[in-house]
Amino acid sequence: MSRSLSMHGTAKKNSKMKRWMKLLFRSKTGTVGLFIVVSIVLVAILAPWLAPHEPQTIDPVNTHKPPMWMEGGDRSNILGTDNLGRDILSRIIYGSQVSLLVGISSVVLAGVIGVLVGLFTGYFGGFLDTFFMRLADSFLAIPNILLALVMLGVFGPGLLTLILVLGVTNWVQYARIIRSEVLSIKERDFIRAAKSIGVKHRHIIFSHLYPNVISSFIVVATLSVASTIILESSLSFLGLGIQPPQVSWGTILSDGRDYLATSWWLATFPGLAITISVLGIIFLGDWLRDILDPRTVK
Amino acid sequence: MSQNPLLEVRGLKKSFDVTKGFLKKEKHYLYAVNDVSFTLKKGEVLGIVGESGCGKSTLGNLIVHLHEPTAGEILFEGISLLDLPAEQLRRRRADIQIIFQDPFSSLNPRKRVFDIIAEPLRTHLALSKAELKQDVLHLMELVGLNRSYLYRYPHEFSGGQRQRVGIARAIALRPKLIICDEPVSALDVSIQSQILNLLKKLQKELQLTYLFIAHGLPAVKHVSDRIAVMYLGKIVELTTKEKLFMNPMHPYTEGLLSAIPIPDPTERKEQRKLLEGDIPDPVNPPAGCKFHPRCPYKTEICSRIEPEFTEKEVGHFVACHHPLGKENKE
Repeated sequence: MSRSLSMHGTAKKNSKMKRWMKLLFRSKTGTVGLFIVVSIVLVAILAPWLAPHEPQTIDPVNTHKPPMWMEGGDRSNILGTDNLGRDILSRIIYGSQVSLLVGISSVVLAGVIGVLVGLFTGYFGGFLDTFFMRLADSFLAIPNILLALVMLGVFGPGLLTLILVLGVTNWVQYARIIRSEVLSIKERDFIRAAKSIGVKHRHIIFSHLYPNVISSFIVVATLSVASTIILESSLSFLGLGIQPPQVSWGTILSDGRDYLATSWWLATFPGLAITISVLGIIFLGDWLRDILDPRTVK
Repeated sequence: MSQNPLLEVRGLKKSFDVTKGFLKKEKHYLYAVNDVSFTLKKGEVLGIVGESGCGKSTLGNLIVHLHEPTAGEILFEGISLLDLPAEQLRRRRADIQIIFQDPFSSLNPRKRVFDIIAEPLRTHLALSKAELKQDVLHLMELVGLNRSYLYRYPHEFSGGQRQRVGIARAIALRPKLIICDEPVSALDVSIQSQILNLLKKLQKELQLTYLFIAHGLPAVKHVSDRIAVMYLGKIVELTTKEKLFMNPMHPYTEGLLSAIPIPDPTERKEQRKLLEGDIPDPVNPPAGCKFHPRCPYKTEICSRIEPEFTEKEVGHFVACHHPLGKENKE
């Protein structure tokens, strides 16, 4: 393809980690994404040491205090306080724990289910395919939030059930995307070559199909981390998600919605936190998709 | 001549259901391969030619068992492949390999050359890492690939080099039979002869048997011992290369032969007998001889009765009511 490629083709097999790091720092979006994601994860882990206040401490004297750079704000509450006088910055720092955990692990759970279903139904077809695709249709017919509400109502609210419920309700989109990709790839000659060699089905699925469909999964998955964080906040708002002493960005956001006109900082800063972390995850996902494709790696 | 055939195909049929709409009661079938029989001796190269859509690729896919035949038998070394249990069939696959037409879709873009060529070895043999690498390097040498390409990805190669990788993968297990499914028709003309010569060299060195599928006679002539001409899912003529070129008996073969361009204008003495019309719709093939709507020699019987595929001369099989004799030529 390009001449420069054939020049340094003899390069020895680097250790994978080294190669990835090299590729990471060559890509600007990858570096930015990694920086954002790593800092948010660090914030979540180090929350007890980073937060200036306890997230639950109510201060009835200092309610609706604006951020420090505005009139009426001061240094003790950098991003201001909410309607109960709780420190917004501390709540955001603590909220990152739940939001990241729910957002990422439920997407991973939904992804694992969806990718497996998509790979197997697409490859084998037949009854298995019909069964799962009709099941997927029935999932699509019911709004996600309604399904999640029912399941949370049955199993009772809580962090773990929330993750499970969000994971189980969201597998459909991955299954459909992966299945359609598999349908087109399995007709290509390299799959037929593997079959004619006598490669086992399981090996064809995981060694030939999987690497070729995973990049579409990454793109969709990183985007849906954002919608999952929002979905979690809606469920928490309805009282079926995170239960109060725990905080998540979603709960802070929905708490602050009522005061948008008077105290904009209540909802704005958790919203910004969601936006920035989602951007970081998308950047990282883009980079991951690129390095998984040997054609874009120079 | 008396040795048992390596491959024997008997009455092989493959039809595809092309019925549109699920409420239609009447089913429509496309007979891609319709009652094909032939034998292939060890070390022989049988060329199969025919226009696009005549079923030659389906025939190749049936023999490597990528499709399930509708009817008929495939005997490989006297054993019917269709009756084998799945696991035994999987092991048998090592003996029959296929080289594909499109080198851009036949290699997994996410795998390195090493992994592509090593795949058959890993599947059927238990080799140590060092043995595996040595085998792969040896295979690369056999097909004329530089050993420095070992850890490259397919997109870094040209079509010809990719096809060499595909050939290395096909010969890795030293198969007894290789189906070459138009291995050069997707390549540049300048590369075609290189790949053909490579295939010929490998056939001699490794005592391979080829079923060589192509859509034109020139490529097939270069490598084949015998040639079968296919038309609408049937073999219409099957004989040695020499007889086919000197004395074609089927009008369709004659048409294909006269379509070969002759570079020297002074040698273009004969009036060309170019074929007219297109292949009929294979879902609704014509009655009688499938070729009769395009045949310049057709008579009344051709549109009623389908001709038998019989041995008109020794080793010369034709399906035609009015086979062309020597008197028709020259």
